[in-house]
Amino acid sequence: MLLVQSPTRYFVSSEGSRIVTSRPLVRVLALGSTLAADGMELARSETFDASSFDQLPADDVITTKIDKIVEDLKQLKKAPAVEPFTGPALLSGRAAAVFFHEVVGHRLEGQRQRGENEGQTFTKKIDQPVLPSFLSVEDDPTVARLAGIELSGTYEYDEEGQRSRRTELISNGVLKQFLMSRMPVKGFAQSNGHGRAQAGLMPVGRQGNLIVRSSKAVPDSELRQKLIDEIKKQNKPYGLYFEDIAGGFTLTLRNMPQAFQIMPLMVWKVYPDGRPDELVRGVDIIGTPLTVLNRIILTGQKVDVFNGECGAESGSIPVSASAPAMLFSEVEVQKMAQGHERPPVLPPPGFDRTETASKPNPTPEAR
Amino acid sequence: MNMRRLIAFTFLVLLSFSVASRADSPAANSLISANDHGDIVLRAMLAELRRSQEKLQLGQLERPYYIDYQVTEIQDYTADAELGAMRSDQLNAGRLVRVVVRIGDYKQDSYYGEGQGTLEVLPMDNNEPALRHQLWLATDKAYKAALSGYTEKQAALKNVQIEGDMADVPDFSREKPSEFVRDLARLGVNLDQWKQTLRTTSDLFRLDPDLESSDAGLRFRVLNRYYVNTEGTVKRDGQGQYIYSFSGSAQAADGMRIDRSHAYVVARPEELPKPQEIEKDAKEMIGTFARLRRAPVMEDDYHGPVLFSADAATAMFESLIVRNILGVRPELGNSARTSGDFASYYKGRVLPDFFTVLDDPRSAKREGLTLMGDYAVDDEGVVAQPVTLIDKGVLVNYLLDREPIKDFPHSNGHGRSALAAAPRPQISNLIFKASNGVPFEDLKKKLIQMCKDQGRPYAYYVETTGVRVTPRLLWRVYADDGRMELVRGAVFNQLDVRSLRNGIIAAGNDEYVYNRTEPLSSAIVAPSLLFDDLELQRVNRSKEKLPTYPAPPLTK
Repeated sequence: MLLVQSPTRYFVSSEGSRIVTSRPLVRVLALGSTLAADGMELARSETFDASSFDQLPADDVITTKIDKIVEDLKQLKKAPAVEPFTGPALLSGRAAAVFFHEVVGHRLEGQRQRGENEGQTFTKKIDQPVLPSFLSVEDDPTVARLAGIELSGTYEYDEEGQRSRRTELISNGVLKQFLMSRMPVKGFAQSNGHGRAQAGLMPVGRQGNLIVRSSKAVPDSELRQKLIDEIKKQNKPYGLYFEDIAGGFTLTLRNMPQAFQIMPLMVWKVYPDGRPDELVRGVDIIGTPLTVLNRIILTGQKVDVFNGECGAESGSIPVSASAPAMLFSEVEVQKMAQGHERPPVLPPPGFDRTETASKPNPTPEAR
Repeated sequence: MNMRRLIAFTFLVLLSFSVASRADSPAANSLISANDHGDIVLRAMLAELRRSQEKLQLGQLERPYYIDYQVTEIQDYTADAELGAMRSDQLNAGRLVRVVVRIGDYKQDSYYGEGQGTLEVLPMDNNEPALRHQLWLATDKAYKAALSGYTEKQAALKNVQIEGDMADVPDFSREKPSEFVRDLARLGVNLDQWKQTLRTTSDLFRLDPDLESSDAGLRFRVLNRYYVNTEGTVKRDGQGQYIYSFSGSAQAADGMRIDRSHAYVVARPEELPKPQEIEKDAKEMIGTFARLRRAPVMEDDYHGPVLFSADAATAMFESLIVRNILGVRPELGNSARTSGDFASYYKGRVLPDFFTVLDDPRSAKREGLTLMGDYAVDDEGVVAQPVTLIDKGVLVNYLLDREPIKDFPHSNGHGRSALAAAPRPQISNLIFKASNGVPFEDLKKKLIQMCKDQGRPYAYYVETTGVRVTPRLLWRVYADDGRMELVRGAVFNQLDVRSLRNGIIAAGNDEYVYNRTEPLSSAIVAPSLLFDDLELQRVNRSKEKLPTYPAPPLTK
């Protein structure tokens, strides 16, 4: 799928703002989906965002990722469904980025701190620890690139004409502020330049470029060993490696549960005894996300960037999330509720036995 | 995957293949056409159709007895302008496939609930493997939907009493397959030139600075359809819809909203109006706003003779007749003949005896205008037939698709699809003709004479109508000198099928062609009409306040 847009926004207000901004977006989206034999829907996707065509990755980079989608789906189709498990887990940077966007980022939106229907998870936690002390979370729409990748959530002015700025949300594990539009919440009277919206909709506090930083990081090459050490320490038969997680903003599944939801897509069982990793499907993380976040032991050093589209009440907007890989002491998983749609009755066109072979089909007895 | 599972899985795979191979025999006498007419889309459709007919079966469940594919290719160009400036400009294209799989038999099948077909997006490029892949998935989905539709229907049938003669009405009629392949339609217009015309037309609305909103818009659409079924039908044809329109809206001093619009709807680009004609019509329409704002408001209530222009008559017939002549079967268990108001009027009088109504898909051009409902084979592959629906005022037939109704076991070629929706009975070119039509001027004289006879100062003449036959240009025709005066704010009360049967006392020998595209390409042709007694009332709608400050200047 290719999306090219070059919107120009004009904003004037009776307070004296005069703003003209333009931010082109070129997006290539590759998506594959299939059904497992038991009817579980399996999907893989890759998004490539850039501000112009020449900023897109080279063709071979894209085709390699598409080949990986095909390969992943083939493996997922064969993979067994996950069994209930509690134990250590490693999240790749990409998976951690999506996890933070959905679980932390959305809950820090200013308007979620008011309104009866909101969870208000963080409303009364200002100046209190909400994450391990080695983690800090900021949203910075002013950075254009991170780890050599253009960030999709970059903008100069938000949809209320406020200049964007770096906003430290969680500092050394302590909650400092929310993503604010001009709608004040208790204790925060002013916008911090995060009033964002799709054209025509009412702006609310939204993410731009969410960045998770860590002061307790080990080289990424050592992460796997750290996971194995943890498995052994806890005397578990195996641990989990979350290679990829889908969220509301990853455009992965048609019938995706609403925003804030996360759906692990590529999860491997990692054995401490050197056996090869084993892919499982249908993983569902259970437990309160915040509790899960406090089980992060350490992180990797390399930051992974995930660019995507985020949907919420003020519409669909481009965002990014960046995070290092993270090791959790404990994650609880179960098999997700799944559809029971049957896979297609006939093989795909061109894969019929009778179309390629001239002989009639052998009967089961003949086999 | 452990070994035991692998073995079980392999066995299952083999079993399903063996079922398929045993069931292969009906393929030998397949009726599916072997002629793809050198068209890649048809080739892909026929290949998947054949494969599905030969092999599609889930376990021991029923196989399809019938499958059809309808591919609809839409090319749509829309644009509009306001006060000389373009506002939107979009070119869209897409291809959709609708797959119907039926299980059971012609007498009783699965076309019920979710078993009424599956819609999927198809690739735009003529790439055979990619097309077949989507057709495969859509067929699979449609088959599974048919299986549950069948179960659902069996369950529903247990809950209702089917009356004697209804039990004999089959679910799906048997029709002769047809082979009809025509060239695809193309957008034959210079889009840039038309964009300029939109600017010019919309700019004319500066003539009346009191207008609140105005618009000139166009929608040019090409619809190409491919259709194949397992009975041997192969069809490909295309149609165009070219709409050019303009509209305006204002408020009278008392806040009453005044809307006017005009549209040219044609099937061929060469039948679109020339810029001079558009300009003339637009200026004329813009001129009516000032007159309507000054016009007196309709009195509380009026009972008496009303004259309809041929234009207004087509809109009135559209609202009162069209729905009722469609042979749409009512819901399961309902023993009515159709779901319209004419369900029990078969062989009964519905119009005055001087009226005959024909629906003719092959009707010739009128006044240089192709009638929009022109087609040779309908969207179920049935050859189009002209149908006399109302003969000398008596309802003698219905428009039918392949879902029969009581006493009408066959389609008459009126199964038509709106875009990619399921085919259902629809009109093509619905033509109202009076055997004793007189010139319009004579109808007007007659109206005045009726006023004089009844001692009225005036009667009403409806020239144009808006939604729900609300008069837009409504005139008082004075009995003393025949002068005409515009009136605003009137609605009809109790204008219904009964007023048609008894109320029309005369008709014109003129005719108006009302080409329409909603719900699908069709036309209504009718003469002007004189009613002896209709009721008009003042509209009772809350009035918005006028804008609080004047519009910015309209001059550059």
